[in-house]
Amino acid sequence: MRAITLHTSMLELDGLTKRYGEVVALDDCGFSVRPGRLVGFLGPNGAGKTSAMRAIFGLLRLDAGTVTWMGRSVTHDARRRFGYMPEMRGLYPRMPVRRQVIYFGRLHGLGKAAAASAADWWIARIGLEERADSRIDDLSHGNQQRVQLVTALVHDPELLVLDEPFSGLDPLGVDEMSRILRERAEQGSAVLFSSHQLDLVEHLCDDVAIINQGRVALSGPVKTLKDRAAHRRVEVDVDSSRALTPTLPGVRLVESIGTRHILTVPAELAMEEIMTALSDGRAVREFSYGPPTLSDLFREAVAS
Amino acid sequence: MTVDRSMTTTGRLEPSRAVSAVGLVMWRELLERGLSKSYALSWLFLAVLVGAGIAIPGFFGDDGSIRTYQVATVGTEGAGQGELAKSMAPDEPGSYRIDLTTPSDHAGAAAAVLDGTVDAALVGRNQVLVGKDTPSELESALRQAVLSYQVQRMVATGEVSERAVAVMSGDGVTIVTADPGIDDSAEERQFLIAQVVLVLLFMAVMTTGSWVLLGVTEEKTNRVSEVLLSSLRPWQLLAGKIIGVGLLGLLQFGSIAAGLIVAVRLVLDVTLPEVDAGFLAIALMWFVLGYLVYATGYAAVGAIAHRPEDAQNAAFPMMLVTVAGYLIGIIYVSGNPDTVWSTVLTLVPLTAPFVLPVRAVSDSVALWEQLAALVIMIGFIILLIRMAGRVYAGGVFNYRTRIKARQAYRSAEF
Repeated sequence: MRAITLHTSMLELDGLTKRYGEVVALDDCGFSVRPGRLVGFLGPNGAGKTSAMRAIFGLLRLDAGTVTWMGRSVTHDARRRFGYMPEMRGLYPRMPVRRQVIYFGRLHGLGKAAAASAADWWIARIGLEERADSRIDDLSHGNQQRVQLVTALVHDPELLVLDEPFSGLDPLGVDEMSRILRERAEQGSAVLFSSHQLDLVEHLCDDVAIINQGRVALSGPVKTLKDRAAHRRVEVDVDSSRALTPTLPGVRLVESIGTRHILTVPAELAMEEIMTALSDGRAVREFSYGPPTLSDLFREAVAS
Repeated sequence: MTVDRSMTTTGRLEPSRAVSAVGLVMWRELLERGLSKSYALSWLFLAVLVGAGIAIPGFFGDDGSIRTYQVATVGTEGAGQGELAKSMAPDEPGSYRIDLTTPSDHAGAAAAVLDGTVDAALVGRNQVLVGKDTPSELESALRQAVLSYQVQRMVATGEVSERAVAVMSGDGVTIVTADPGIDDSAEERQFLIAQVVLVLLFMAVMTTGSWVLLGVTEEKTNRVSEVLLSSLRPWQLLAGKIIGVGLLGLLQFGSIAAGLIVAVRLVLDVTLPEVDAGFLAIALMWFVLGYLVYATGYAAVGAIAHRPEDAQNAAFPMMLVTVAGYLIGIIYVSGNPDTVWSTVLTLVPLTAPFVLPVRAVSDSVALWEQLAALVIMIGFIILLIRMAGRVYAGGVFNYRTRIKARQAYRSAEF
């Protein structure tokens, strides 16, 4: 019984299609988000990330496709147990922090006392106890972002959807946001967020979905995607500034910085063979061979 | 870190069914707008305006004190006429009294009138001596006193009978109405109240309608709508806003009206006419329905505008409709409550609130018309709020330009 529940309690986007006249925002877009998983939603600008996220909340009139939660169409009641931080941040500028957080908690179905205690807990968590009665427009940009996140978290959502949550945050803010999202996933929530910071996503996420031109180009657990990739990443540092020309079939030079070169190689090529071909009479000072980075996967997915 | 978060066995906070989304939005409006400086200022502005309306006429004109006129009398007859004039003067707040002085002779009296020491003089048998500043009310009072004095003398000498005097002074004829049931003054009063209801409704719609309009566009400008719509249905958001703002408007107008009634009764000591309770109930009901239908219209307009500056332009047609409804009620229906057109206008939701109170006064609206108008109105408000909600949902992601309502309606999911 427990296994069935776990299996079905997920967000499933299937065949989402949305056109604005000639522009195709979503083109048979589909992927899933499971509880306890942190999913990075990646794609170039205008790929359809925001449209897909809005579709989860019924904010978009789809031409085709379905969004299901735990095996059922997403209802209004189900959405009240979701948390959302849209790309266009928005709070009431003249409303004090605490009242605002309580209000959003209550809109998501919390009782008065539960909303107040959850608001206090979260305000303390982001270190804004002293500013609890301040108006939003009296806060710094970073603190406004924190409050925005808290309004999406105050009701302990089963699914958390965040559109570009890291944009505009300083490194400390990024760390804090990462910690909170990680915690939410560890506590059993399904977390989906979009970002352009690929290194961060690679470090933080369990799964990724890469979308390009409205269609999912690649999705799955980060580790599996990297392991199963058709290419490997090679970084080599040699003692000569002579240009490096790959001779082996399938080997591609990605970038050269002085004597340091980054290449992608077919996964089936043996490491020794690669090393021999690359050295080409030069002494190899440093050689690393491993799965591709998320950036490599992203570029490949988007290019194809 | 641990905290008591009323967790259920599954570790999740269970949504409370009792929480009403519309109620929450309404409370937020009441609290945040009600405590805002702009609300307090608009209240103060209205109170000052109404207070000035009462105080200024009193200050410049009738301030409730008693004016005293000095009248000089010469000779026995003059003295008699003066005493009579003094006894006939109203001598009450807002009116005048007469004080008498007795100069030595006619010339002294004339000099006193000329230099303004007295306001007028009674000299000899039938002369009233006036100056250029003599008030007209004093002049006619003295004229009346001199005439009455002469008639009294004629009655005393038997030249005229007392009965003849009584007949001439108005006892000789009585005007009666043919229909004993008609109370003209009561109907006039209610007609006046109906006009006041129309004016109040018009003012309330124009004021609170703009609050609703700006409230809706502000949420779009602040970009908070997208967050709200992730947990609220658009119609719930609009309904809560309309009711909350409406209650604030009612509170503002109601308190000012109550203050006005108290001020009129206590300060000016004027007794207000009694109004039929049934009529008042109808007037109040249509006031509320009128506010709801117009506020919903303004909310829909706010939904298609993308920023407050644009909202005023978008609301212009809506304002024209409001003015037209008001003028139709106060000009056409007031004069023609029984025509077919008036019946039709009763059933049209946007004119009904301005038409029904006027027609209810003259008893020219049948019960079926009232019930039909009520059903149509409630149905229309529900439909309008749903449509406005959908327009809102469709227009909410349009952060750049104003879009057509139809376009917004079609693009919405709700």
